[in-house]
Amino acid sequence: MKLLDSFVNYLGQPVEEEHGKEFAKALDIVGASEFPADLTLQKLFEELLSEKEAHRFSVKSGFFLSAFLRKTGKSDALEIPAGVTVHYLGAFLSGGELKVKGECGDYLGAFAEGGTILVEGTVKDYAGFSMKGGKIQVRGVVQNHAAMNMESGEIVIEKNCYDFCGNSMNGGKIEIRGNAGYSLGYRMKGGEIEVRDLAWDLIGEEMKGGKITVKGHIGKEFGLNMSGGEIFLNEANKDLPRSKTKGGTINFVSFKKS
Amino acid sequence: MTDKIDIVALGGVEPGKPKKARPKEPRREIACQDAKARIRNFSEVALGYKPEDAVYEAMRCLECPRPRCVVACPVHIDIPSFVGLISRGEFSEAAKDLRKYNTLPAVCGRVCPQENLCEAACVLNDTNPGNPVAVGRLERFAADWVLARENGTVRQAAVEPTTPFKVAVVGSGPSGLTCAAELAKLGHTVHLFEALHKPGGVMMYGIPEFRLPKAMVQKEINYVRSLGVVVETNCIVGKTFPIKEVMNEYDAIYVASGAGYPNMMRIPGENLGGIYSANEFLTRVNLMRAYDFPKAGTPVKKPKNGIVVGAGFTAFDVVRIMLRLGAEKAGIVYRRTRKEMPGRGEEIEHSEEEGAFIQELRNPVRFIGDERGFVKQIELQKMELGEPDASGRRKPVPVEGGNYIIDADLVVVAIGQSPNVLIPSSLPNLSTRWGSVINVNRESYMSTVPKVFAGGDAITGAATVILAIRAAKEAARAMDAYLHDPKRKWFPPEVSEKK
Ligand SMILES: Cc1cc2nc3c(=O)[nH]c(=O)nc-3n(C[C@H](O)[C@H](O)[C@H](O)COP(=O)(O)OP(=O)(O)OC[C@H]3O[C@@H](n4cnc5c(N)ncnc54)[C@H](O)[C@@H]3O)c2cc1C
Ligand code: SF4
Repeated sequence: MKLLDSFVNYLGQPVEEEHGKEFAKALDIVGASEFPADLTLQKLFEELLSEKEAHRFSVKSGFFLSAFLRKTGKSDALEIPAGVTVHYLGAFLSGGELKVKGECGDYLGAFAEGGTILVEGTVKDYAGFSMKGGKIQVRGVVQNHAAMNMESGEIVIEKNCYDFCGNSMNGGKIEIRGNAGYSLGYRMKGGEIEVRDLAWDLIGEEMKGGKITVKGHIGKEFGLNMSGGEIFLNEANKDLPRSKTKGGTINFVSFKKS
Repeated sequence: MTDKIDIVALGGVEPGKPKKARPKEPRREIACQDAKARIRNFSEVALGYKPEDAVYEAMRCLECPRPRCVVACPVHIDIPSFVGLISRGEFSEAAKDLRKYNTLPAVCGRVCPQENLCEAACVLNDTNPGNPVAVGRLERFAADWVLARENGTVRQAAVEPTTPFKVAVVGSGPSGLTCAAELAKLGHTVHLFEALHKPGGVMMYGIPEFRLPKAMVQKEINYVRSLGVVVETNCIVGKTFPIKEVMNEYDAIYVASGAGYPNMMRIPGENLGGIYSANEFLTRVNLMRAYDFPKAGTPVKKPKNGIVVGAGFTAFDVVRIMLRLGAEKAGIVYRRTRKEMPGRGEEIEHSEEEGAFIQELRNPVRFIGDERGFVKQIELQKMELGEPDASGRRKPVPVEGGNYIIDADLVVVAIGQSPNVLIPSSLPNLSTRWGSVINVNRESYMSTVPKVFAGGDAITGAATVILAIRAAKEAARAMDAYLHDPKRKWFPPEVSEKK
């Protein structure tokens, strides 16, 4: 398939500095390609995997798959076999629905403008990076730096989320239905994060704006050096030692069991 | 050695059957050497779980679908997974599972402050406060199980470098070892340089044998070696050879030189004989085995009245060593109260069992010497707690007229350590804070000098083994991305935001 030949060439090129340029390149290749009307995301993915350069698959394949989705404008599904990592899956998505089963690599749904990504499995770092719209819903664990620089849109994490969730986020909403790790909302400027159960040390460190709600237990040093925004914590934590803050508010409230 | 494990007899779950957890059972204590016996030797105090203890404890774990313990573990070990394997009798598999997340599980199982991490977050505390699953003891059990088999080392199939990149790691503490292991697994050639004659950092020279057996540390290091990491000891980077040489020869450098420079009190009399920094005292005893003098070549003063200033990990290790060296009396003086002590609860308890005393709200203001220039007494000032400081702890303030004198013929100052200035002073463009703590970008672990990454105590000041490991793992990922990036982009820290 001509499309796959182009992909192999594309892999041979260095990764560009900006994600946008990289995606534009992938879009160009896909845009200029002819492919059978019945080509699904799964089929394309499997063909890519079987190429002899498959060991480099993880680096840029996600852009390529996203470009394919964007061009077809279809909703589609993908099952990723164990041991394969796809970065940038659903990056720059603008509409439709992408269903993924398996482990996703870094930058899931980065820069997405619309559409919905549903994942059943673990998601690595930088999910929803600079996301501008749409929704990511994960039925699994999301690792570090989720929603970094997020502008708008929604992320729902049904299990746990690890460290630096909401790092420097500007807008949008994150709902964590399990627990969050360290440094939740680090340098957050806007938007909202809600954690249904526990969040560990350094909630809202250097926070400048936005809202963080943690309904369960918390670790140490919440609000350290925060200068704006609001943190809502369970009143059961109100006697814990306070860190130095420069502004913003920390409220202790009673949450009804849901 | 292969062991047949009768999991039913041990009280665990048969393969393929569902687990019925027993969270209401009390937490299983760990067997320890008796306090009277142990102060006469340097052997390990906590003896570890037997298989039946480990299975019992593992059966308390609910294997929560949204485990709180995992988010509170700095390296996010999949705790329910490895604990679940123990409850099913799959001890070696549990150890393998642990090693996916942590290069040094036998060390962390012994020395991590789990009571502030995974165990503090465990859901069992909700219904039974103070009775979480004993995650640390189970980690130690699984790691020891494998280390005691497989000829004492966990050998990895030799990893051949698959990339053309060469990385130098400076310092062989937990951070350097972990970063080296992670980079070797990613296919890079890794050379690890260590200033001392034995690798291991604080694990070898700081933490005493009775808390962390050195043979165990060396077995963990053998695992790192088996991944293809070349360890070169007796190499002080910046002295044995200039750091510029390393910069020229390697594609990237990870500085994990720790915080081995002692802080002193700067009060009159501190230069008297019999007053040691904690680092010197511990290195003599642990690394040079001074407790075995004259069989070992290095001596150390054996005290009658030993006093340690400070109340962190180090202070409690020192006071327990003093007792083992035969001190009639040995104790801690600390300027705050017990509640603020940074030392681990378990260590404080063990020290007191062994006979150490603790004087809270006291601060030395002067050391008094005898005619030969050796310390004989300390003038202590009474303190009280004032307003909280930036860290949220209440600040100690002197009580007027509350000074008095106590006897002491050995004093060890254990009020903290800072990173050594050698590497920062060899790299003029390396940004630091407080003189020697290296500034790095929190996401990339890059310093202000291209090619130079850093982690562990070198970037935080004295902290913990697990935080040093976390930094190393994250830095290794960032270094791998940097090495594979043809443009070698550099994201240094925002130095204006010094903390
Ligand atoms: C007495 C004591 C007890 C402790 N107990 C605990 C505990 O129970 N639990 C816990 O979690 N933490 C404990 N800590 C803290 C913990 O050991 C440290 O946080 C951890 O070891 C830091 O790891 P690191 O790899 O950054 O540095 P280190 O372990 O300090 O290792 C740094 C290594 O770099 C080497 N080095 C330095 N400069 C150079 C150079 N220029 N060239 C080559 N090599 C160099 C040093 O010789 C050293 O071996 C304790 C610390 C002390 C001192
Ligand atoms: S929180 Fe406690 S009970 Fe739940 S998985 Fe972790 S250790 Fe087990």
